[in-house]
Amino acid sequence: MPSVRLVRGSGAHLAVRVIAAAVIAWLLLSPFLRDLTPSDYGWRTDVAVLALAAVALNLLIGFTGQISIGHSAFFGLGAYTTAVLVSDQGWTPGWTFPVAAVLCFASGVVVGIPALRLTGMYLALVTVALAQLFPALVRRFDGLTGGSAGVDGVRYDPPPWTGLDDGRLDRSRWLYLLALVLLGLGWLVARNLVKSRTGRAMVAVRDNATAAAVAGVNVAFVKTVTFGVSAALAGVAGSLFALRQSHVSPDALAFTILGAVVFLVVVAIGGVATLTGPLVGAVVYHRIDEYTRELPRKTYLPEPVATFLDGRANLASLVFAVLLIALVVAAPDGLVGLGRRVGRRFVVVTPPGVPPATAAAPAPSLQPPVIESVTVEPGGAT
Amino acid sequence: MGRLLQYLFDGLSLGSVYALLALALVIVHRPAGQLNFAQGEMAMVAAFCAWWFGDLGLPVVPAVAAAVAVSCVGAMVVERVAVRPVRDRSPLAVAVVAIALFLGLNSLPSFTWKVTAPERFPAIFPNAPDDFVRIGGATWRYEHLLVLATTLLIAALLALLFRRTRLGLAMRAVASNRGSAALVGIDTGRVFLASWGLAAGVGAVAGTMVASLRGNVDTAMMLSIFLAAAAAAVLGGLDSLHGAVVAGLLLGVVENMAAGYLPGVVGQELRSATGLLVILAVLLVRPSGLFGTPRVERV
Amino acid sequence: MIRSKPTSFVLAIVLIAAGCGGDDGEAPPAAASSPSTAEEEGGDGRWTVDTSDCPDGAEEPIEGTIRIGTTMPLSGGPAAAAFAPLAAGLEGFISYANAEELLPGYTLEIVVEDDQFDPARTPAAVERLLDEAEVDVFASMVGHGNNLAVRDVLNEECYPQLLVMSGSPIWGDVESYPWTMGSLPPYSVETGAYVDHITADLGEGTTAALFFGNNEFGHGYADAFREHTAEAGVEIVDEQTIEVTDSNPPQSQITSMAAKRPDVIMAVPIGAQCISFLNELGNARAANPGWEPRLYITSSCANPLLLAISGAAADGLITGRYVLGADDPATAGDPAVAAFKEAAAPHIDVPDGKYQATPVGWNQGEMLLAILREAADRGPLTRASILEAARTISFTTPLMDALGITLTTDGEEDPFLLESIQVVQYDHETGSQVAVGELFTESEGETEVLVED
Repeated sequence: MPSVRLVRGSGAHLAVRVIAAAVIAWLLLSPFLRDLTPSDYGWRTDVAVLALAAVALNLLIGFTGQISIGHSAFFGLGAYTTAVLVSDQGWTPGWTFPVAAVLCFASGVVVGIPALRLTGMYLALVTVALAQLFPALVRRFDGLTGGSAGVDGVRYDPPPWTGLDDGRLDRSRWLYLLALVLLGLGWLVARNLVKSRTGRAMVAVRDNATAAAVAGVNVAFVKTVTFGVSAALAGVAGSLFALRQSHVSPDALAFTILGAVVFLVVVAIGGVATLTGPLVGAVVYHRIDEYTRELPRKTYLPEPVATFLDGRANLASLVFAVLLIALVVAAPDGLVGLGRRVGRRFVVVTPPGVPPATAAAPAPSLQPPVIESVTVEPGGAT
Repeated sequence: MGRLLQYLFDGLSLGSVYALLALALVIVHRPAGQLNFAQGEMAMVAAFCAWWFGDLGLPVVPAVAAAVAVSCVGAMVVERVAVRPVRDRSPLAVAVVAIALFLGLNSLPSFTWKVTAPERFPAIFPNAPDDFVRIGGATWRYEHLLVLATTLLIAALLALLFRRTRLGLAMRAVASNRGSAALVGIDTGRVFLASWGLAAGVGAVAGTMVASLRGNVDTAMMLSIFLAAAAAAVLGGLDSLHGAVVAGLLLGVVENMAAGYLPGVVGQELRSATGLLVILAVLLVRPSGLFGTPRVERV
Repeated sequence: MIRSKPTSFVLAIVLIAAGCGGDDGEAPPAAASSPSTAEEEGGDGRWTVDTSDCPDGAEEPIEGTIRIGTTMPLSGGPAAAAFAPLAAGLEGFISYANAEELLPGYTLEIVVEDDQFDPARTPAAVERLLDEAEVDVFASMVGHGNNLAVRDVLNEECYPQLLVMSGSPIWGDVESYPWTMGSLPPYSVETGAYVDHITADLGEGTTAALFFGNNEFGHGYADAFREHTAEAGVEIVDEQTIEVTDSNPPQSQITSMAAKRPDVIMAVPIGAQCISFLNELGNARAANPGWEPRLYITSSCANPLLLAISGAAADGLITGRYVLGADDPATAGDPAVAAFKEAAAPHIDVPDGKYQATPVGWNQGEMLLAILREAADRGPLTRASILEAARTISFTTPLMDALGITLTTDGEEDPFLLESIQVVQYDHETGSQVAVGELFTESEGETEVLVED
């Protein structure tokens, strides 16, 4: 039995939420008060970029049930938009964010329209084509994109009003701040969309498109717009990525199918169809990744183990794979799903006026999607 | 004419490998609706196993057979340990397990055998430079012919297995309706296990044939082949065995013709994308692939 | 369930404070991309670096331990496996140099960060090397894109980025990027040697086909080859490319080349594609009787273990060499190779006796040591003095001296360290590469720098 019961909207509930928000704000903003190095800001910026891309993908997978393994293309399109505008056209980087967003929204809609006819793995495969196409197109149109050599010198120095200088430390602070702001904005867009009428329509489409259509939801409109918004957010994440890297090239894994796969993994380990999942997933993914790559240099390993590992490449990748599987087996609905299940043992939030007995049941609103809810006709095998 | 035939023959050998790996994907997909992203890497590791057995002194054919057996067992262990616990929880979790397997398996040979560069792989089929027949100005190499024949033979054996054996019948029953199959007493867990094992065995044949054609094993050798095979499996309809074979061969030929005849327009950059775009066009007309079963949804 | 609605307020406040992007129209002060003001010549007429725009520390003496930072793929798949011997060779040499006290008064420490060959991971890796490992000098970083991704920051922070493992002509841009220097022979040196050999052997009017991987390496190489053949009157009759991620053999490409029947083929495949290219070409020769093109292949394919896999298909191919390897039976008895093996034995684990790129990594260490020694001889060691030594030096290493190679730089006059190469021919019977003609040195000090706009 849960030990604490909170009534939604009560003073105690509000207090808990204020404290939670304060803790999160402290976690995000305290770096500015501490004596951190540029690399400390750097990895936090990387996490924010990853989180924004995951927020974008989660909108699509979690709330309309469309799997995309092609978001690296939108991410890359955003990155190249910023890179080319800043490096070749001399734009102020801040102005390239809306351009990247609009461009990616439009391409998202263009992809989203044919995607209407496809579901599940069929759609996933078409988005794989997108992921394959993007680096190929970058190499093909080398007049615009610099081809294999890429685009160099994409940087964003802090504007004077921030009081920051253009040294390495202040530049990394500025980018971190920028990433936080854009992540916050993107998250708000996703949140407001999900909580709105459109959001309910999205979930209805995800759970059963036919039923949603019967109930009066414009399925085509909802799916296409969601695709566009998701692409736009991924594009903005790409813009940030370009500024953080200062150099973009088609060799960057983030622009290939592997990038799209990383976004998918982040969404899955965080918790699909939750608003906080992508954020949690990005932090956890990034830390596991960093930790495992430092493994081979750990000096505390006992001598026989160290000798065994001598000359064996790719230890980090193996450990990473095992950790990832362990994580998914332990928390198949993602870490947020796991956290909720554990948290419910201790704290239960009930709507006002509901008797305690029924309130203990989990809220059914945001269940993970059933992606392949396919009934195959008997006799169709072979 | 000679050039057209040459592209056709080369495309068919490329397509045979696509078809075989696509078959493996279909076998896993049919009962559980999962796409095994690690299928290509499992085949790559199988090829490395065969190379290792060869290194230990086994002739090539027994080495390949042993590698096929090791793959079957290994895949069943993986299914039991990593896939089963999450299967009914979330399809996305299954996808992540497969992705993690992909990353881990890709790194396995360099860790296990300390290989740093491609290693020599013995030829399974006759492959001297002049082992070919000349047809209409083009050459059809024996090894390419035999790879195609092996693929067709395996497809035929699979069809027999699915139609004529108890296990095949059980697999078809689960594919068609898992709930009803369980109700009539079919052990669905065993069917999933068998599907993974069977698919890994078929994949291992594909992997070793690729290694034999290349003359070497390399950890990167299945990456682009897997993508093409996945495309072929989807084009064929994901639950159709003959669909996978037809689509695999077709994709191999289309890719090769496009890259050969349209170098200015298509070029190598867009070669693999060409195949995918053709598939996109087909899927827009037939959303369940060429031979796939249309979905019937209950509202 | 605890929902975090109030976070949106916090974010909104941050948002207002940040003014949503800071588009005040002020152009960023171009620090790295603008030429670092003219280098004044030192008292003895040698090139010196201008450190007036540098943050503190570039002229600070380094004492006791010299920390060397590098990035290499150690995980993440095939690249990690391929570069493992290189990393082992470099780290082995550093440990050897410390054991033998080759740089008296100093201990060398090397920190290798794993960037998985992904250029997008290199900036973070270099940041950690700067902030956490506090390295003094960067050397032998792997990958063209990876080096490019951190060139700006290292030039701005004034850290030497020495011995970049790429042959692109952009690594000679002393004016804009004084702190960055390459270590592999520029593409034009190697292709120049081959075209030289073509014209000397086959004369003018020879036809050639070009096959290359579609990345920076392949394109850079192809550009250099086109330039040299145009000058030499060699006609390129066909050009074919392969995607570096393509695991299929280049059948359609070779079918197309065979139809044009060129006299020579210049091939720039990448990694395992070297083998499949050789095998397919062997098949195409058998299928087209009477067509016996001579094959020139990039030195990156010249690994004896790779060529051995291709068997007879590799027989007679022509390639280049600038470091003596340890896997070639013909050079196994060479005193320099024997000395290398003996010195390396306590410091490097060599799986199955296959050295692969270990000598190349070892040689990178030798080159770095020579530069550090030169700097220490001239005066107190600082980041700037190390760079200045690297840019005005002439030396050799045992594994290069055996080929007669000298490494020379002279400020902006001669920005490339290594500009000679030995043309060799592969003999399948003995599995060794035999020198053809003299060492190619015509490019010494002549390589043109590629300046990006």
